[in-house]
Amino acid sequence: MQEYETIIGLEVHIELSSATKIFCGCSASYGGRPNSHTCPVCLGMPGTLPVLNKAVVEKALAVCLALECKIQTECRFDRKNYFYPDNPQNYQITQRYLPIGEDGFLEIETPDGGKRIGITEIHMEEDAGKLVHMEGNRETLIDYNRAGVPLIEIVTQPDFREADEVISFLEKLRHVITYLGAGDCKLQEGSMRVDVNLSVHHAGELLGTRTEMKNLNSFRSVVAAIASERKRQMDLLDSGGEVILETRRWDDGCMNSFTMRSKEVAEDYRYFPEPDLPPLKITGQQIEQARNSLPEFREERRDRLIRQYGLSREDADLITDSRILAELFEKTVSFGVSPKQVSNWLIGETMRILREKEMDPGELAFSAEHFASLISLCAEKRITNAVAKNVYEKMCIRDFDPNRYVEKNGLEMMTDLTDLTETVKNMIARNPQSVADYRAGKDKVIGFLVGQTMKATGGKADPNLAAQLLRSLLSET
Amino acid sequence: MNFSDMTALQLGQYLHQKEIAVGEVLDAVFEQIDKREEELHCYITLDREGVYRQAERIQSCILTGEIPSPLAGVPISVKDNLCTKGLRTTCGTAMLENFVPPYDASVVERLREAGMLIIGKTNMDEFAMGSTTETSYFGVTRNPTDPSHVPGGSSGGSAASVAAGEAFAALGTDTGGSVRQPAAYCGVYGFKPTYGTVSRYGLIAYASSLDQVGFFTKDAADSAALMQYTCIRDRKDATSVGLSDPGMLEKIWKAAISKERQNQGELFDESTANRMKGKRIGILKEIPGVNVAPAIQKAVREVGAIFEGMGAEVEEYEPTMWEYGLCAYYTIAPAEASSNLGRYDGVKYGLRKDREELHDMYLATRTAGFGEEVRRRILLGTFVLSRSYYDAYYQKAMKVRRLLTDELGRAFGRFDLLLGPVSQQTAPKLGVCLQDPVQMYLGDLFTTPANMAGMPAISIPCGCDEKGLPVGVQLMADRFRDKELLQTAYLCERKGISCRNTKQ
Amino acid sequence: MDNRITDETVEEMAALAKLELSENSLTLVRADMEQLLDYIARMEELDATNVEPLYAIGANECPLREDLITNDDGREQAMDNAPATTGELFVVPSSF
Repeated sequence: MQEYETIIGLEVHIELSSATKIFCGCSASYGGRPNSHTCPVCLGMPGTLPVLNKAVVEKALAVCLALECKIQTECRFDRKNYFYPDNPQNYQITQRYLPIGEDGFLEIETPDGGKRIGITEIHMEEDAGKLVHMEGNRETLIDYNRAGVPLIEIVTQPDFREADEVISFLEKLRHVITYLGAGDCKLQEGSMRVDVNLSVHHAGELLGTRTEMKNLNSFRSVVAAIASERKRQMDLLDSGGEVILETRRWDDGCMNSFTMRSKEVAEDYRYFPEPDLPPLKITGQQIEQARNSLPEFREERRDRLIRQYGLSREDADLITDSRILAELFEKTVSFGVSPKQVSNWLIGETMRILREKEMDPGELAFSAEHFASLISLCAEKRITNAVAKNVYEKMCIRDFDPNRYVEKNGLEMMTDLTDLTETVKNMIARNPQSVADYRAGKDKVIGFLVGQTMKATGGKADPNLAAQLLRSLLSET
Repeated sequence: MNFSDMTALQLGQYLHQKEIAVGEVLDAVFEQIDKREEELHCYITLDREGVYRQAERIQSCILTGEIPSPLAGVPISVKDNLCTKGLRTTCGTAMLENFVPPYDASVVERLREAGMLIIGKTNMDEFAMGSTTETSYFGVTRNPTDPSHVPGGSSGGSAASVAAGEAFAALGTDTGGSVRQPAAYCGVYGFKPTYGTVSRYGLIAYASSLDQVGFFTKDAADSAALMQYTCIRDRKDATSVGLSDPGMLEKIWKAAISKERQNQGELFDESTANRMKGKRIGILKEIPGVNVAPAIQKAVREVGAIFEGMGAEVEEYEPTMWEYGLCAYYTIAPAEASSNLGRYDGVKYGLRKDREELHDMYLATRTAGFGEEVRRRILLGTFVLSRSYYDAYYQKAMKVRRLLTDELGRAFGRFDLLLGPVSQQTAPKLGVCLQDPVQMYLGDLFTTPANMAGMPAISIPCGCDEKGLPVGVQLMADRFRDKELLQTAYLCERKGISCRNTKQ
Repeated sequence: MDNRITDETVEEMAALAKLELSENSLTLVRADMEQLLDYIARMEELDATNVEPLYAIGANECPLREDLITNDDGREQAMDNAPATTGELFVVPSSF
């Protein structure tokens, strides 16, 4: 039996991170009480009209340039007409005929080297509201907060052959979009939505009929869905059946897909140019400006950090994964702290806190200057590591000057040898078993005793000094 | 004092000079309304309480001398497809029978700022689709000159309210002639500004690229004044451009006010005569197969002759694209309407016919909420936008629109103004037009070109026909030449060419 | 162009527009549409092969709005004119 080749193309919807919706001044932020982010315009009330958001155009333009698209210098909006309750006007304003960007690409890494994935087009459109189906009483509830939130749709060429390539692409795309500050691309929150178009055929033969797969809420689902659909189509063809052009819905629960209920298979959307919005003109100057303000992307920045600051590749990789952390790194170093120390702090404490508290780098409260101060305090041994970590965790939530804070709360490292000796002696006196264990040869006990000392001094004892004192005192007897 | 015959600006003068009180004016208006409304039915909603409250506020402004505009204190009626905050806005349809907008249309806001008093909302063809005001869900409006005849449409109620003395001016909307034609039928001035000069925010959309707010007035100066206070670029309307230098319009109505006070009875003087010298007027040549009533043809010729007498160069103009333009109009307008009216589905506002299932609810609501003419145009619009017909109909119509606009552009290279009929007939009897839709559509031949090209046009009342029904004559100008148009219309009046039908 | 249309086409269009067509009215509506399509089809007489469609009749450039939140909590206003709500959400029958 001949091998099947799989052809995959993607349609990716990305919520742009502007403050307001695409056509009105309502907040576009996630959450919010149902229907509180609404106004007559996004509710489609009689007589209301759309007005285009500048930031949406800027972000869309940035994405187009980052993905090497040709910019349509005069693009237009069109109406897509269909009846559905999540759509207040029963038409969606989108760009069907003249999208803002076309003919671009994104390079991904594959085991066989770099591969270029073609981008057919990128266009702007508005999102729909959210529906909640109530089973019991056959009712549907509608929240229009999301109606009018700006989206861009990125359509790729059918250049993928493997699920891995798709994931690689999506990860890189997410990186580009977040780096641009254009969106946060969270599949689970719906700020990034992926539809997979897939067909199979025997090598050398005509391309097969493709199906469209929706409702993929994680990268895992994408991988599973691709494998499942591929198998379904191959089995179907092998048994003499035909693949029909349809839209299927992935179900994570049963790890399977189903035909979507007569989903407007041949629905006629009657697209026509939106008469309420004149053509959008994008000048050569605007394009140049946008191009010049594109941030340095990951690879370039990583290589530069290695060169400029002597970081290891591994460290540079970790730091540049987030544009915000990479910028924080450089800014902090500019206040005179050693790059190695800043990088240690970022990779160690910062990333731990982000993970544990489920925070985004953008939510870190402290300023680079204060961060540098803290690192200095610690490096100059004016506070202990323990105290530094403690203070740092607080600084992540609320910005303050660590110098003042340490002073105000008396957190300086204990310098008085007499005091420390006193405390250490107390520790020895209170822990006879540990002393015995130490004398019996268990050196690790020093660590425990140091820990106790730290506790007793509120972390202000110099642990190394404490350890030294402990050893000398314990060896006296 | 009998002020019911006054124009809006004249009334404004008397009010601001404290020779009458705003309350008195309202009393007189409502007296007239009580006298004639039962027969004419110009209004769908009257806001008696609200308008007296507005009157109190304006009266105190007048007393303290803080007068917002020369139109302050003048009562105006508003077509019911323009949203008025807190006041029911039905658009003449069952679908919005109880809809109360939480916002004002921008044009309404501007006039409130100017201190005008909104008496109520006038009757109209449902969703502005019609030429006789007979498709209104709320019953017909009758022509004040002869109540067995229609007032025209779709802004029939607004036109009739001014003609019957139930308002001193009125707001209407004009998509294919809906201000100019009823103005001609009722014997008042009907002005449609350049597309984009007056905001469409709050205008319940019929056909977005054709709809424009227009004014019904007793003379051209009033239209100039209304235009000045409303032709401001609106940030809520992306297609809005406003009119550069609206202050130029001031000259027209200021002249009107001063002349009225100084030269009572004198309608013509040297300076006005010189204005027409050298102006190039294109008088519309008869279109074969199109029968224009003799009285109307006569009026057009007479106006042309008078212009000539004043030194204008009058030549015949033969358009070639107007009939095709009408076909294109009846492709584009229904297409846009079919999409604009998609929002009426019983979900967020308006009528809902409850059903167990969603799509059944859509079907039941829309079928019950829309009248026959609206359903007809929605269906036609759906056809011409559908995949199989899009290129042949909709795209073609957009190209015809270009051809028509280009032809008019060339005409305005040759002429300053185009002169012609507003419609082929004077007001028909009630109950006649709805029987043959296509025949009714043909009546829009002379008015639709101005909408298709976005150009300003005005209907000027010029006496009556042998049955005593008002006759109107149309002047058209190039885009943004609204001032020139109004100036010429004002001259017509001074020269005694036009006179509104004052029979009330 | 032959402007004869089938009953099916009329039903399709009515379904797209969410308008009900009763048994008896289908024939009438079809005849009505045919007449109208016949009328507007007169445009065919014009040759417009190299003509650009005219889209923008008002402003010829799309104005842009600053990305600033200008609207307050719109929930109450949204619920005010609505036929059926839970007080926070709009209610419609489900589709099936």
